[in-house]
Amino acid sequence: MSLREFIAMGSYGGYIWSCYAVTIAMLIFSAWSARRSLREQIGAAKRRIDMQKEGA
Amino acid sequence: MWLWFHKLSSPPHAYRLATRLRPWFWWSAVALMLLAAYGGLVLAPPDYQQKDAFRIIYVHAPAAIMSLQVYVVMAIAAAVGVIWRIKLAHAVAAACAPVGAGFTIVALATGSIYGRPMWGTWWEWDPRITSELIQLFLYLGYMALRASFDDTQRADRASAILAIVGVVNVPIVKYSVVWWNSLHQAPTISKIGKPSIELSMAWPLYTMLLGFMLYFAAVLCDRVRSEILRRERNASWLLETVKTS
Repeated sequence: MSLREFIAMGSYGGYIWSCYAVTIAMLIFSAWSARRSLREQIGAAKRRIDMQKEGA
Repeated sequence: MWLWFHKLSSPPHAYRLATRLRPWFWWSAVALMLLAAYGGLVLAPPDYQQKDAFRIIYVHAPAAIMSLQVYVVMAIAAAVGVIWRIKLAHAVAAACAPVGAGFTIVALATGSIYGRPMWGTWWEWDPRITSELIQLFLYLGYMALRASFDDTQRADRASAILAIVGVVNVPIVKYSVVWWNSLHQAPTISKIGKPSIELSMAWPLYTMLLGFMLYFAAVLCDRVRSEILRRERNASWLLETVKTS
């Protein structure tokens, strides 16, 4: 099987690759947004702790 | 058993456990998803009816199964939170919703793209498709309801009720193709006894599902940690844990 044939997927290539693209996009976005909100929460917690130290 | 349960439900312990487990879940998920994609796109032979288009099933079906499974996890966590008043359970329920919504969007979008060459239509108000759309609205409604409260405890209780009531939609989605005449094909892999699918076509499907489950576990670890940090604003254990992370 040639690469061209593989990409064409017997004329269904457009449908198949767009499905895989949608899936990969969601997987990356969902993981990234979870990481981002975790970083924000860790940053906020660190700032709170620093402020408490200064206050003490 | 109860001691173990009690320890697990303590936020500091859960926070550290999630931190430690996350890379294991993540990298095994990535490996399994790549393996499944290779199996489904390259190794599996074309279907005799659907030709190569059936390869969409390797992302469509696992995403659809996850859209229900994540909801069940969310509803159970919410119920545990309400019944035993465990704050961590509410944190887990809240963490499930965005991931579940993501899987539901993928199931609907890939289903729509799958439907075009197979049924000649992008969208049909068919029982399976309509109930899956309701599934998406349940996730979005749950998230919107949570966001509408400033007080976390009230958000927990109100959204838990929605999560528990909404679980009735799960069997409706699952059995919609059996109960009603549907354009959607009948289940292939979950048939009791003998699944009606060749092994070379089946293993990438199971592998992808397992990969998605581990992916869900990995993302849940991050989201649960965020939820714990948000809820335990002034806890003293945060001091040492956050400094090292």
